Amino acid sequence: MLFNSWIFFLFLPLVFTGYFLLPHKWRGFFLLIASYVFYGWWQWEFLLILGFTTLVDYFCALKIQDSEGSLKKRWLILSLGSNLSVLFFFKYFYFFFGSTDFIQQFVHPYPKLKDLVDFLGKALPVGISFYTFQSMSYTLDVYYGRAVPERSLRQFATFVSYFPQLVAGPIERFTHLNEQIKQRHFIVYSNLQAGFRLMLYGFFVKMVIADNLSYTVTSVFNEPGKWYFYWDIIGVFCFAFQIYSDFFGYSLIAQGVAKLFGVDLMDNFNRPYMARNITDFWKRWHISLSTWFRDYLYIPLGGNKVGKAAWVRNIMLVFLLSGLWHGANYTFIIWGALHGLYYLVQRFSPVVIRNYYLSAVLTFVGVGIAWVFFRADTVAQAMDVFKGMAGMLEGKRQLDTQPFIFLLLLIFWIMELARGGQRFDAFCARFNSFQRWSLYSFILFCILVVCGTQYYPFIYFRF
Amino acid sequence: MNILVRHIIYKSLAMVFTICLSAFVYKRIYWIPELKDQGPMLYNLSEYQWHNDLLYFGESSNYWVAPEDSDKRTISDMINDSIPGMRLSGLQVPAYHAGMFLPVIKRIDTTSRVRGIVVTMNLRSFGKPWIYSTQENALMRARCFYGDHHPLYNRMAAALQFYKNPDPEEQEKKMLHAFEFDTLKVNFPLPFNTVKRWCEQEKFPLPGGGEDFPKRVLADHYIKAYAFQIDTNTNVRIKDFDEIVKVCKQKNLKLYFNILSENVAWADSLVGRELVYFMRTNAQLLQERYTRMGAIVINNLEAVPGESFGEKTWTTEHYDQRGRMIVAMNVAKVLLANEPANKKKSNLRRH
Repeated sequence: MLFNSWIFFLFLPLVFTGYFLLPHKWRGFFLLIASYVFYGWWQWEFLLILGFTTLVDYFCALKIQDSEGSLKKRWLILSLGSNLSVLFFFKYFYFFFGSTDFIQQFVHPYPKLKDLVDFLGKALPVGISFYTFQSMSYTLDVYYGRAVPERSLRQFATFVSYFPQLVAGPIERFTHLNEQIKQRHFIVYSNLQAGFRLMLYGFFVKMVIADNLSYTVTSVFNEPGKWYFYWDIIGVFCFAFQIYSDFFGYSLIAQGVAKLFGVDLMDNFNRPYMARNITDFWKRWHISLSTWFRDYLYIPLGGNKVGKAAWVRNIMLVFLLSGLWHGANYTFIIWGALHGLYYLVQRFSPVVIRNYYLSAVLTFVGVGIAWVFFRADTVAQAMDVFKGMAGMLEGKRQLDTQPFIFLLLLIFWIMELARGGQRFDAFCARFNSFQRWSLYSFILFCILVVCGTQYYPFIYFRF
Repeated sequence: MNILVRHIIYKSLAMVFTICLSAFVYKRIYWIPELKDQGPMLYNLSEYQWHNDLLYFGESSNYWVAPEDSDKRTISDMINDSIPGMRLSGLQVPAYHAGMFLPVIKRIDTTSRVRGIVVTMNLRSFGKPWIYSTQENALMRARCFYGDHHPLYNRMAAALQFYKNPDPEEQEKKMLHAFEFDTLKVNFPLPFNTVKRWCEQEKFPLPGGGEDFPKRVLADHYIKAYAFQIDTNTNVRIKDFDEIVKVCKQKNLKLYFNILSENVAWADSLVGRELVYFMRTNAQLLQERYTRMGAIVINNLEAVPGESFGEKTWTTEHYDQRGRMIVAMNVAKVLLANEPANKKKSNLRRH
């Protein structure tokens, strides 16, 4: 179920009403059912994978808690191995093996097997990377003694499948989310207020900004070099904002929905394009993933408390895996590698840019270049976009992008600047009632009148 | 009154006001330009219905022209030029079918000048490849803009996917399933009773060994496009056409169905007379059914000769100027015979 679909606008009030009408002891179960319905709406078969991940981590965490020494480690390995196997099987198998001649020749005489291999190439359970990482963080936290395992399977399943953030994060930590879900909640006016504010802004950012940028981005990336070179540059610039507003919009709606139920989800973005350097960027972009990699990979590898060579290895490993996490494609690996290189250049460069604006612009340009690989379907396509941007493809066509899109982008940017580091709900609280409602009305007007009308699923759903 | 309740009432009112204002502004300023782009058929209807006696609903067959054509007129323009005293304009969007014409026909104003409509009946649109086409999502989305609601409601219906949004992979699966399991029942010996088996049996050996692959692909395509039997109880296109008949009766519009020409000669030489049998039987079924229901059916199935088909490597209803003229003349003849207006000379300005 997509947030920006009519069915969600039916689903949410029903779940909200049902949840608060039920006695506390039934609410958890109700939320679990609702979450499974939400997820199963895409393809119910994928619920089996979600259920498998949940069961394995539930039992492994209990065993980790009850075991000592090497046995404890074995249970952890079983948990991580199962999670990564599922992820690998559905996300990377075809990339690494499915398309190779050997596998194709091997499966060719067996149509059923060939169908299975081809299915793995096409089928990708929605949000598998998100909930697998969330579930893995739980067993790791139990192993390191940072969390006490959940005894109730129903409660743990609700934590893994919690519908507001199930398919595209934020990737929550067990200690943060589970306790909140468990609590007895009441309908609180301030929660509703904050929830609706976040949702309103989230829908604006997704449906008005991201969806309207889609046409320019798709045109440029589908036919790089067909347009005047400046359209290729504008297309890449637009993608930088499309992906930000698409994912940021999702995160805001997720936060808003959870807030209605009294749950606070972590912030996933903090105005990343205002970062002064790449380190700063990764503190502001997809925060839940970057902190996951920091806590569960970078630090266990030694972090920065190792020699220079090992540190370089750690950094590159983290970024390469971060790229691969996004998808089974060389383009994502290059995207990750580029960010790793930026990080190293920043660390070892003898030149330090002290001017914030210059530094921020350079960071944005670097990030934008990497986005080309992220958006392109193949490395060759990415190279064509670069050639188009450099004017090497002699494209001579104008793109019929509507100018109002740039006005919308400007409005969005002004709002981002104006809210400072504050979350949108807190930002609104600065104003008096009239100003606030003028702002809401403006946002609602934009959503109704200028939102994109094509079918635009959230970009991060496929990760 | 409780302050909280008062707050909620004020805020709800503000919300309602904003929605009403948005609806007003959208309809006055943004709707028409957006409709031009997203719902061109309704956009054209809003103008054409006030200046025409007849409207022609079609798809790409209406306007496709061969590169060598000196006469670039559409079929509807040719008809218009052949029916003195009456005015007819074409409403056409590529890949549209009866399911798309229907909501537009529903929007014809009964006080407008339109007295009758000609609706193209594309035989292939009754077949599985078209019914389960991956384009169906885009068409269903466009259909939202033709809904009989406030334009802002239609817009939000499209934006929030309030339409049948079938999964393309599911669509393909259904189509393949139909090819494999839908049996063809005929009263003569047919060595293959499903589309899949039929396709498998088609062979095009080359003299020097091997197979003429392009020909085989084309034969497969023809079989998939035409080897079906219309089930009047379940076929979605039949439901759409039935509904069109019903709507026209309600609106007191004379209804003409134009069964488009298919490349029957090529189907015969490429695949065989069994395929032609299905094409003819289906066309006949449609003609009989809709004649019975009160529509006037113009059966052009075999009217256009094979050489007038513009594309030889695919099944389309794209004709060169001669083909378009043949179809137009057949339609015009029927219109002249059935429309009373032709008896008195009209002094209306032609467009």
